[in-house]
Amino acid sequence: MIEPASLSAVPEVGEAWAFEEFFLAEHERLFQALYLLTGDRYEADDLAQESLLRAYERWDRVRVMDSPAGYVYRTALNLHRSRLRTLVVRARRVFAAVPAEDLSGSVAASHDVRRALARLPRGQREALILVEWLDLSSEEVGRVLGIDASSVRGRLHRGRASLRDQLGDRDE
Amino acid sequence: MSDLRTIMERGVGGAAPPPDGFERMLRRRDRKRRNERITAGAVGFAVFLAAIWIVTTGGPFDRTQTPGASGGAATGPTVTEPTIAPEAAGIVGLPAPGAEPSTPEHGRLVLYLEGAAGGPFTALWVYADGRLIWGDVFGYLPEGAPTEGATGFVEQHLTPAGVEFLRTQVISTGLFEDDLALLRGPGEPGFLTIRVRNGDRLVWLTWAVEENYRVPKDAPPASPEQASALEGIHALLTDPTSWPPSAWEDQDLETFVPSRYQVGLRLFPGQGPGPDLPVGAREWALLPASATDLLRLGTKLDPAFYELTTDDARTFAEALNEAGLEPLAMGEAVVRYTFVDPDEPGNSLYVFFGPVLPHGEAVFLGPG
Repeated sequence: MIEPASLSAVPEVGEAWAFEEFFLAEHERLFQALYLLTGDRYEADDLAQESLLRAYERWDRVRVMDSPAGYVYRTALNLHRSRLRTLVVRARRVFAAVPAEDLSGSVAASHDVRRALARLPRGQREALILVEWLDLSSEEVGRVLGIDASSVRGRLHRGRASLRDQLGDRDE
Repeated sequence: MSDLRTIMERGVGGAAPPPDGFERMLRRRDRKRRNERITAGAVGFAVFLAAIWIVTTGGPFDRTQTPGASGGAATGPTVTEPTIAPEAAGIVGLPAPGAEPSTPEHGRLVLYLEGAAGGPFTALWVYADGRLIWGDVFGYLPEGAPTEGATGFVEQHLTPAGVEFLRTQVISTGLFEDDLALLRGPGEPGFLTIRVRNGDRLVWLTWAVEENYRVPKDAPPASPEQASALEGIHALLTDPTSWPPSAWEDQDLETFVPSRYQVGLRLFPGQGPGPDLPVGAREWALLPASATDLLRLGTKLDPAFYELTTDDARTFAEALNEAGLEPLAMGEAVVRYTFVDPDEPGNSLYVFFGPVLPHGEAVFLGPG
């Protein structure tokens, strides 16, 4: 778990531009990865904003890391887990007097992919998105997720097989 | 099968983050700093009061006092801190011990809005008696909201004319003759839900992105005119400075203290978004006995859902605290506990606290 650090590490004016370049380079890709992870644009945007802000608040330390982007990805994944926002949403599905969505109907191909991803165990989904969307190596993903690279490869193998099973008819 | 990258590109569907990402992040930082200053100010004020008390009364260091010697113990000020300590970013919790529930306890809902449309994510409720309640979502409470003993909800008071002004402004869009579900475009905020009283009934309108569970997949997209009208409603309701002065009876922001809370127990599998599992006897047994005793005192709404008085809800939370559970609060008006089932480490049990608003509905605020 990444613990929030002091807010005193706010970048100086000169550093803000360097961070802005980093932001522009990573923002969309991070948002899209989180969209694949969460299936919700609003959630993805919020997680991306918060994780990038946390990097900004301590940019003097993050920028000298081997992989500042890895720090942001790790923060985003930790936020996604620890905030439990999807669970709040699901709790509201139970509590709210609004009909739940009907998943049996015809849906767009993009929705099929996100739904297939959503059906994967979280660990497999995270590994797949980090490797396939963010182009991280197994070793880098291992550092982000806090597991060893062989475990990452195992998750990738199972995740790919599961996705293939779910989407095979459409793609083969 | 095509390669996974291609599949994922299809899954992304060209989705892009909302515009002005860097500027929005800077505004987020500013809000965060402001909230921290407010919190620091409140703590500083409390320290100041404590110092005054110590100087003027001798406080706890005055060994000359002999409590009970003259028929009554010397008493200092009552320290009323929230039972549930919020996370650094949050300022919410259950009401402080001794906090009087807001009155009247019950009210007739006239207007409700939750969600975003070209502005901040907002939650508000307007009642026939003039009460206006704002809910904390990501810290978007009106400026000046009290932080001491914060519950995540604040209230103001409108005149009857003010209530009617807001209601008719919403109704006049022509969108509230019947319940309506509309889709909004990709990349827009997740949802906007509005309920407004029209005649004897509350009419619903929900405007949400396709992925949001609130609208059916076959809902029609909002026309540009409908979208514009909904953005106009959101802009009006989230900008009280645009309301006529005659709308206000009392603009002072006060903490809304619920008289009751609903406590929900939900069991979630640890891997993936599978179906919620039923809460059974084994999970029930994970709760401290002192906590389950309190649940039995409440109204059982279903096997995993109870309504308690605020005092009992606080005592229930204290029982969880004493059992070593850490509460979660994220600047939203809902407090959660979570713990892992030791016999099924993949599963987690969550305990949610949702305040019951005057119209009788428990609210579990959050995005999505």
